[in-house]
Amino acid sequence: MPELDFRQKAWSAGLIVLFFVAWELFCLMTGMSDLVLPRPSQVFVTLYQKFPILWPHIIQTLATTMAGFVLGVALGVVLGAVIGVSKTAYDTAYPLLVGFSSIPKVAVVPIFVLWFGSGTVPAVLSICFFPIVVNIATGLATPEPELEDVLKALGASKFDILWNVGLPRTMPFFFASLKVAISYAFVGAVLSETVASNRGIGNVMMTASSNFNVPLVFAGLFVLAGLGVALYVIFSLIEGRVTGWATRKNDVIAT
Amino acid sequence: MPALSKTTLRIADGEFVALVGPSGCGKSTILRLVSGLVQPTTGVVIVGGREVAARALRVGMAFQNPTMLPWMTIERNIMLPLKIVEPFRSQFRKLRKTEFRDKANALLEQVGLKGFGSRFPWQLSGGMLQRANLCRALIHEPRMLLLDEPFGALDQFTREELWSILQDLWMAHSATVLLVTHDLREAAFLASRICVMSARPGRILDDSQVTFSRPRTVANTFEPDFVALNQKLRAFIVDARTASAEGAA
Repeated sequence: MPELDFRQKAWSAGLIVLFFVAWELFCLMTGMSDLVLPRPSQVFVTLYQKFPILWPHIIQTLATTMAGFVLGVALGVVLGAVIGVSKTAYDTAYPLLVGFSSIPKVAVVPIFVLWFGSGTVPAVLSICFFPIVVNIATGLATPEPELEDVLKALGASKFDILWNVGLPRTMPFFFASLKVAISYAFVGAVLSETVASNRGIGNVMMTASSNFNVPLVFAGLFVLAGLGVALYVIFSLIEGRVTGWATRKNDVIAT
Repeated sequence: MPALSKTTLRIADGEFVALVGPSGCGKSTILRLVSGLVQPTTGVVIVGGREVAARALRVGMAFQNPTMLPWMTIERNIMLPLKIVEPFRSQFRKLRKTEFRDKANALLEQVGLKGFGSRFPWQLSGGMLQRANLCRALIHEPRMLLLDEPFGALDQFTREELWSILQDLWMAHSATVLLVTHDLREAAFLASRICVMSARPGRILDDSQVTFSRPRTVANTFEPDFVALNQKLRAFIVDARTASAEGAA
C-alpha cells in the first residue's frame, strides 16, 4: 500500500522539521545563550562554513568505523560459526558471551588505550563483534529436526546440511546483527577519538568544547547523527534485498 | 526400557504398510531404524538384502511438519534432495534449470499443484505444503517412502483429499511405503497391509492384509467391510492401552 507508506513518511519528515522549529523557537523565546544551547540555524550555518575543515575528520571517522566494522564482522562470523555449529559449544560459550556483551563499551576503551596506545581500530573491533557472534551462533543453532532427518536419511553430510539449510537460515540473523554492529562500530570510533586521538569528529568536538565553540560541538553532533542514519539505512537496504523472505510473511496471496 | 521388544517385520517390495498403535509404542522408532537414522541396540534391520546404513539407502521421508525452506520457491524446495543424492548431485549444476525442473513440475502436477512451483512456501496453505512435502520425498525416485503422520496437522477434508493423492502417487511410483499414523481410517484407506503395535515396549499384535480394491474412495470408508476393519483395529489398540495402564499400575 504505497499511499499509506507515503503518509507515514510525510508524518516522519514533519516530525523532524517540527523538532527543529520547536528548538529554534524555544531558544529565541527564552533568550538562551548560544554558549549553552545554540539555535539549530546557527548550527547549520557553522556546519556549512566549517565544512571544508570538518571533511577530513568525517573521512577519518568513517574510515575508522569501517576498519573496525570489517575486522569485527570477520572475527564475529568466525567465532559465531565455531560456536553455532555445535550445540555443546553453543551452550558452553553462551554465558561468557552474554557476560562480555553486557560490559558497557565505554569502560573497555581506556583498557585498549593502555594496551595499544591512541590507535582507534582495536577499540572499535572490541565492541562491534559481539552482536554478530551471538546472532550467527543463534541462527546456526536454531534446529529444525525434521528437515535434518529428511536430509540425513538421504545421506546428507553435516556440511551439506550446513550449506543448504544452516547458512541461508542464518542470513536474516546476520544482517540484523550487521545493522547493530555498524552502529556499535560507529559509536566505538567516536568514543575512541574522543578519549585518545587527535583526528576525527569525536576529537573535533572535544577540541571545540574546550574552546567554548559550542555551535561547532553541535555541528559535530549533527554530522554524527547524519552519518549514523546513513550507515543504518545502507545496511537496512542491503538486508531487505538479501533476506526479504524473512519479513514477507504478512502479505500472503489469496489462492 | 527399550522402545521395541522382540519385533519382526517383513515387508515386500512395493507394499504399502501402515503402522498403527497407541502413542509412544515405538512406531516412529521403526521408521528411524528403517531409514538408518538410528542403529538398533540389538537385532538387525535389513533393507534390500543389506544391513541398513543411511548413506546407502536414500529413502524419501515426510513428517507432519512440511519444513519447506522459506527462502526458496516450492520448485527449488522440491529439488533439494537432488542436490544431495547421487547420481543427481553431480548433474545438478547442469540440469537444475531444465530436466530437474521439469521433473519437479511433473510431480507438482500429479499432486494438483500445477503452476505453484514458482510460489514461496508462505504463499501456500498447510495442505498444499504437505503435498509439496510428498513431492520432495519422491523427487529422487526412492525405492522406499517413510511417512511419519504426514497428515496429522490437517483438517479432516484436506486429509481425505491427500489420502487420494498419496494413493495415486503410490500407484504411479510403486515405491514401498511405510506409514505411521494415528488415524485408523487413514490406515485402512491407504494401506495394503496394517500392523497394529502394542504399547511400549512395542511389538506387533496384529498383522493383516487390506484387500479392498483400488483406487479406493472416501465413500468406500463408510461401507460395512471397511467399518468392520476399523472396529477390529480399534479394539486391538484399546486393549493395548488398557494392558499398558494395568502394567503401569
